[in-house]
Amino acid sequence: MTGLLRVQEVTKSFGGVRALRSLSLGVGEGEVVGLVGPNGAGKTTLINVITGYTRADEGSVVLDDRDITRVRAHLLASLGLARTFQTLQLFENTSVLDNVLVGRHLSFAARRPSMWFRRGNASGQRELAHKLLALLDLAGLADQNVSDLPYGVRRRVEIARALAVEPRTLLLDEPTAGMSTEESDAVGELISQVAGRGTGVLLVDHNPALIADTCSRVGVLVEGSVMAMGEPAEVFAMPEVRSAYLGSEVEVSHRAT
Amino acid sequence: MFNWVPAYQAFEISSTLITLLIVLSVSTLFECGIFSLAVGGFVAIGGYSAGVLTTKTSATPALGMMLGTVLSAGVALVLGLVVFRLKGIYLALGTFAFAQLVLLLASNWELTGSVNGIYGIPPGLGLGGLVLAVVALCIVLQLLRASYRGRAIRAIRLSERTAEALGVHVARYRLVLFALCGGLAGFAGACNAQLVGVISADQYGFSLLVTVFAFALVGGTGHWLGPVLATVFFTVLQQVLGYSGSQWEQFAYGVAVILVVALAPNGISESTPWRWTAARLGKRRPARRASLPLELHSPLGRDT
Amino acid sequence: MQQLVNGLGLGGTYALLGLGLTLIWGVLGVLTFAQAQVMTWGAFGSLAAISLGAPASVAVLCGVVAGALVCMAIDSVVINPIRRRGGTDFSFVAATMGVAVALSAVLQWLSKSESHVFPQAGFPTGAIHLGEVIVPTLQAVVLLSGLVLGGVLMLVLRLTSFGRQVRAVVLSREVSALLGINVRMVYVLTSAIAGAVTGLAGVFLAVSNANLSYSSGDSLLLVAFAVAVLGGIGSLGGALVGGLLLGVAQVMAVAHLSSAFQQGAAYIAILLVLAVRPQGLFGSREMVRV
Repeated sequence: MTGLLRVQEVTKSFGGVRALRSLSLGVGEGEVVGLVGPNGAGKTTLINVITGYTRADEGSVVLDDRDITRVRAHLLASLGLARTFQTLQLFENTSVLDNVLVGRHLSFAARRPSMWFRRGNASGQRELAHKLLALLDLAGLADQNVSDLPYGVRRRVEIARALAVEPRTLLLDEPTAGMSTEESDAVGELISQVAGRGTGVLLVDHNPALIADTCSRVGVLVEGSVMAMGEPAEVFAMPEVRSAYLGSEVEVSHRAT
Repeated sequence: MFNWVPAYQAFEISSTLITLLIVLSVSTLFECGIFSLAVGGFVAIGGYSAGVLTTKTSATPALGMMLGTVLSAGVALVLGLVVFRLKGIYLALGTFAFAQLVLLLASNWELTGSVNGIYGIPPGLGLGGLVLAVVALCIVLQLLRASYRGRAIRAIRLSERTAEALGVHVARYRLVLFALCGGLAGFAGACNAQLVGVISADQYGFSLLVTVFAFALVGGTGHWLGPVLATVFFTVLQQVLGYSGSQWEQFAYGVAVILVVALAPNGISESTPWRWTAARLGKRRPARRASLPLELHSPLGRDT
Repeated sequence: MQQLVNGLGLGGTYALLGLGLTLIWGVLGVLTFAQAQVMTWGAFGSLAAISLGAPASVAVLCGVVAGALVCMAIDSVVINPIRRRGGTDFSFVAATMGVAVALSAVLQWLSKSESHVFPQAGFPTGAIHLGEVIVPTLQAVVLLSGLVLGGVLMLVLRLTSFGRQVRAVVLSREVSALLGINVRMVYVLTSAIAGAVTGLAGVFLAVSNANLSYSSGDSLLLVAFAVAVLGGIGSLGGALVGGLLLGVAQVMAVAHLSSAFQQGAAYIAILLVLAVRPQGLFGSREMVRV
């Protein structure tokens, strides 16, 4: 299994419900791994376990060869782990810029300049935050109150905030929910570029086109365990996957490049 | 510097400034989402330690002030370690019990004068000193507000777990802030003891708590200026209406708390009129058109 | 042994206080700081009845009714509007603190800031002798009523349809409403019962002190909290046990350690419980720790 993030035989139950069954998964550096599956399959639970929101009953999570199963949440950010939430968790009644700047918290504290942007342009954390906003086409909205913005835009703010951490490992939980195809495609390309810089990405989403375009591998999570794992084209062609998840006849089309 | 102010007014203004310090110690904690009821206890610790030190030994008032501040901060730190694992209501309960315990101790210990309290406390900071203290505090609060730490503090109140996921060491921030605010309350308590010269346990009880909460809640969690304005407003109001010191003052504060909690829980500084005014007054830097770095370019295809 | 009996007698009053608070905390989910005022107003209610010439039993009834009315009023005027506007735990804490202070001010004005004598005529006086132990009759009555009321309430919760509705509301307000339960009615009735029990405690207190002022109840607020925390939120049986325990602990501490513990026992109890076992004797863990 590849190096950066390794989920090993994780099991998690809530009362009588087994949300994750002995699940194993790996994400390598620069790799984008997709995770699809019906609602309730355990995808968000998996991310919660990885990020320490929930404690696994059994199994372990290893990041960069370091066991993070019991590590406190705030330390994970300093290990370069960032996530977005399926049910958006923005700081309400706060500006877009301030939301993103909280993502820069550790950099402020360490007085560390950006790792992603070349020195010459990135003089100061605010400029950096603005650059991130530009990447997600939020440039004119910096001072807007996030609570007043439409859903798709709010999603982009959350992505920008996660990127502000400049994570080595990025967990995206349905990042393009509520977005138009154009927005979705743009986010997909951004993800590919982020991966191109060496970040490992776990992408949970319902959008097969997005998965097909960005992921080198995709896993299908059904009732807490991975039913299939492989290249998107192969996996989506499997009859079990189609019936369990996609429905009978679904064409997965690639964006013409 | 303020010698031209007549003695009575100087006393009243000093008293208000001290109240303001206490209110800010509470409202700053509110900004972080820490709803502690312990403030009376810390003010008492500050007042009593300064009082005892300066009446029983030949220590200077300045030393009394320092002791009051440091001791309160220290106790706050310990209390925080004990109660911060608890959720909301239990935190309120634990801090309330602590405050009552402090008062119980003070009114039963001969060192602190038992029921009679302490009298004859030598004066400390005058009006000038207090003005300086308040101004300094406001400057600190403004600097904090604009800094990344201030942002982190506000984030903790809005969504603790999310802030933590972004790298904010929530437990440490809360503890440090609690200790600092405890120290501030203690400082105010010491100043008050030295201003009035006489202290006893009952002045630090429930009515102080409700008064301070009324000002802090009305002022709100958006900006430190809110509680400042609220304190000034209420103080002027009760002077004008002449109800100062009577039970109707307390009645009014009680009702004020109920109303603000029901109608505008985040206070005036997070209300729409405030935000509107702040937006108009603020000198905003124009949204920067970031020049794109070469490595990551905007996939949305727009040129800036 | 005598101390134990004294403690149990005191514990009876404490248990009643705890029952009232636990009901409101458990069912309405509100930690009310106004309960001391409910107690005091209840006691004043019965004092008013006595000064109008009513016999002791009627006066007690008046006290109980006064307590119930005040508690219901607080719920309708303050707690419910805040709940409808989406109050946080702290909103209720702050608001009930405001209520306590406001009610206290009104009572202070009505009673002209004076302390009033509470006549003991017509109430159980004297004492029962069990071997070497002297049990003041009044304390025996208080203890008995505490246990009986607590027991009755527990039976009501378990056996009656109202009790089932209450338990449903405790589990989930939204689901209960969907199931057709009149949640508002449950809240109002619970407030009434809690107020009644608290008012009774107030009357007993006034009788045993022979004295009543607008601030009589204040020191007992924390006792009520201590009992509720000790027993565990929402646990009526816990409130009973907690009340008795606290009463005994306090009397023992005063006898063997120092009289300062008269008030301190409650505060220390709260802090100890919160530090060691926040869910109390019979409560559940998830509700308490972060």
